[in-house]
Amino acid sequence: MTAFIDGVLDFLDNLDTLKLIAYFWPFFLLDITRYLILDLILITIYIPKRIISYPLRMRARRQLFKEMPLVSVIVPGKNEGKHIPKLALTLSKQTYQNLEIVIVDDGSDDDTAVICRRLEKDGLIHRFIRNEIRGGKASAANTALRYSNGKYIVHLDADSHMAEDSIETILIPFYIDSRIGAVGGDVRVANTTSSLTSRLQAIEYMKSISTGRTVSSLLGILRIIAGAHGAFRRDILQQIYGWDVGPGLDGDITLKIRKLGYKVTHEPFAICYTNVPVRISKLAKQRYRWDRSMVRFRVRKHKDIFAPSKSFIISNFIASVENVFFNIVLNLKWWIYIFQILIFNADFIEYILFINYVLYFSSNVLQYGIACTLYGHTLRWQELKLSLYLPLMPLYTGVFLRCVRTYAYIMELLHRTSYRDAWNPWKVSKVAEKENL
Amino acid sequence: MRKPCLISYESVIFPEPVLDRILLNQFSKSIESAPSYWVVTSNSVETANAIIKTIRQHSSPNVYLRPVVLLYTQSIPDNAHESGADRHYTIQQFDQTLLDELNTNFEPINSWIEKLPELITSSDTSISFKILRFISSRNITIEPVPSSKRNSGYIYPLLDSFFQKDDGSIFQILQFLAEQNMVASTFFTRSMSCSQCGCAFLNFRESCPHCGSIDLGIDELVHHFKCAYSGEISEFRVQDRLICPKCDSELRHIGVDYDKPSIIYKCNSCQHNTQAPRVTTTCYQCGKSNEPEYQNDRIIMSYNNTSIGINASIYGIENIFTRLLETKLRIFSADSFQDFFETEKSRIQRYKISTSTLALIRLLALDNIYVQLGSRARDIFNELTSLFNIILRKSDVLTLRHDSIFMIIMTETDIKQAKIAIDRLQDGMTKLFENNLDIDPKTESVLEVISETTEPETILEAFVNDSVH
Repeated sequence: MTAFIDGVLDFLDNLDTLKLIAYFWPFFLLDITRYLILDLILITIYIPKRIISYPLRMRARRQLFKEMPLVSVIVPGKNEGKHIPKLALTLSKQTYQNLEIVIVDDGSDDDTAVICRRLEKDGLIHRFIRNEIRGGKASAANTALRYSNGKYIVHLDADSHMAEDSIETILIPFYIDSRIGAVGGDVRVANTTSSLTSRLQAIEYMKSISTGRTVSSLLGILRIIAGAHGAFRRDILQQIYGWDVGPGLDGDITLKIRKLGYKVTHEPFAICYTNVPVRISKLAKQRYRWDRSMVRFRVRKHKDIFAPSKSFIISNFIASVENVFFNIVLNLKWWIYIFQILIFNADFIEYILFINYVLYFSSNVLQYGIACTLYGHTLRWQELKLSLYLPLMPLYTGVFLRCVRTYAYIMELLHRTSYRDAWNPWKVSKVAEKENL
Repeated sequence: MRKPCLISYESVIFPEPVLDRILLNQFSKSIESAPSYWVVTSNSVETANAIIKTIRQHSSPNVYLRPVVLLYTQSIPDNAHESGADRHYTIQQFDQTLLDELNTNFEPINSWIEKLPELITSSDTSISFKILRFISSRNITIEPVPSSKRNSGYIYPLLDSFFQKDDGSIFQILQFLAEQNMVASTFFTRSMSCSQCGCAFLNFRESCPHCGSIDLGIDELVHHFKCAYSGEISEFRVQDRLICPKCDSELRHIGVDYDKPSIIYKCNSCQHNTQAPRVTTTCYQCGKSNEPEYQNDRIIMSYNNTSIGINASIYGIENIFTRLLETKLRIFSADSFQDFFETEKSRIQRYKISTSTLALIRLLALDNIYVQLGSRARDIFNELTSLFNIILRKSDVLTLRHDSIFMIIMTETDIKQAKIAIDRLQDGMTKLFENNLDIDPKTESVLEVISETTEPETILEAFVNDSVH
């Protein structure tokens, strides 16, 4: 082991700056800039800015409570009945109480209807609509939208629960800036301690959602409002007639709202805890679906964002370019980099891989530290304990997620497999494929 | 051999075959010569039913048990089954062949009736017993039939004529007989009825859970596959086509372009939308409104005879009360009681130092109490016997007459003490039945000091007559 470390140090000793960059260009030229330095700078700016803007937020809060608009919490889903009582309980404890809870059952084949009808009768939810025939998540969300009355619509996943001030916090940005059309809530992992897979996802969510979306929001290039926790202005949703066919409908609707010229923002302190896949196979399936939707929606459906037109908006262009570049184009860089190492640097492959591991591990430690700083008083003990799993993150993101992503892009680009995903009813997918949606 | 007999209010013209005839106001006099079956002619169920009621409500088993054939002067109406007759035909169908055929068909019933002890002289006053005998004689399943003419919603057509009023007591009597294993009950159907008055005629209405209005509209939900738009079908309607308001595409084929996943109720008063309208039921009779789960959900049974029931219907229902009293109270027969009474009378007369009292106490509507108690009857009557044991002394002599009148020789008891004891007994009985039935059972009593001239049967007769009047 000592000999190996000595070898690594010798290898590094012999590298000048150019060589160092040549050997580790993905890290130094791309990843450290986009995912570490930018995060560090912007979060450093964000935290004092948030403290300074406290009076502004308090004024917005007062305005919210003075107006007390009806807020519809919509929860579309299939076979989610078991989660609804807990969700209803969470909502009953919210600091903002002028809520209308609308649950739409998308053709469940379990006892969801029985559970929800009882909750409706007991007044714990306000409206339960059961669709006997499954239509997919988008149609269920649109049904909920159709039968909700709130000025603001908060879209939630059934298997989530929220911090008590979550609804209040997610609504405040609407009262700070009238140009805001949608606000993304912070999605954190509820079942952190369930498995190693869930722990790694918890770290990933801290980095990519809490920090990543806060940074994107600051840059004005936020491109997704999570379905698990997102607030929308009702008039805007009505203007675009709600959600389009998924998968990837969260990103799709965010882009549609952006295209109308509205701002979208992330509110890291509107906290929602959601359950993530516990088994790695389920996680792989989930990410396979998410990654394919990147191609289907960013590259295909909303390709007009890249072209100059009357409705061209530079921030939308940057948001999509950044997204496509860092996720799709730069995903290729890894395969080029691996090819480079295997062909040109095969003699040092173990040193290069080890140094890369150390670099990305260090980067993860710093990103985790940034996320913890951002969380502030909302940081939980179980999230703090996740630091023990940081050494596994380079393998999780660098190997596992990258392999899944590459496979998803290839399958979608070449075979359009998202149209055969059982996530949507086959009849809906058939029409979507036929219409090239 | 018995022959059929035409029974009518007045003389009616009846073609061949020739039948014995009797007017309704005279037929009680001809109990002995009861026919093989009664023939009733009518042009409607209602008028026929009045005659059949007269037959069935007669106390003689030789009359009320005989089959009834109803002949309609015109066609057989749809509600013919409600008449209570054993068979029904048109007059045109009724010829000598059918007459003979019916004689043969009714032979098992008539044979069963003939086997009854003291057929001519006996008088069945207990309606429960009459029902039991009727079921046993027919050896058929007594099935309920839905009827819009009765509050209960169901009638037992063959048994309905036994009752003067539609007070639902048929259900109680059949339940009581089933609890005593006299008949066997089988599930037939369920029926909702008003929790307040028992009426089966309930108006089920859907109302808005928000404002209570019953002015609700129903719309179908449509899901357009292409754009995931979901809305009411009225939003899609453009003349006779369906056009999606979101993407302007025409919806052509259900299942291919779109689905109708559910329906939605819209309140026209407050515009509230729901898929779960509140259902309320309102009783047509008493007007009480309730949610369905708070109304009575009755089980309607069909009934068959049982071996115990058949035996009891021939030889008499052994009254539980009597049996309990006999085993626990030392009830003496009427003859033994009379012997004791004569002895006591002689003893008093000879020594002239004693005073004894004859007490008669009657529990009114015992049959009714019996039926209402149902399966609790045994326990309650056990308690009643305990009450008798506590209040009466071992030297007292007790007999039971007419199933509900107790005659007691209260030895060495003057009328004042006897009154105290009888009052206590009456009070105890009242409390017992009030607690268990929530009704005042109504008791009557009479006391008489036993003397040389005292005749128990005369006092009993006077007591019965007084009670009747």
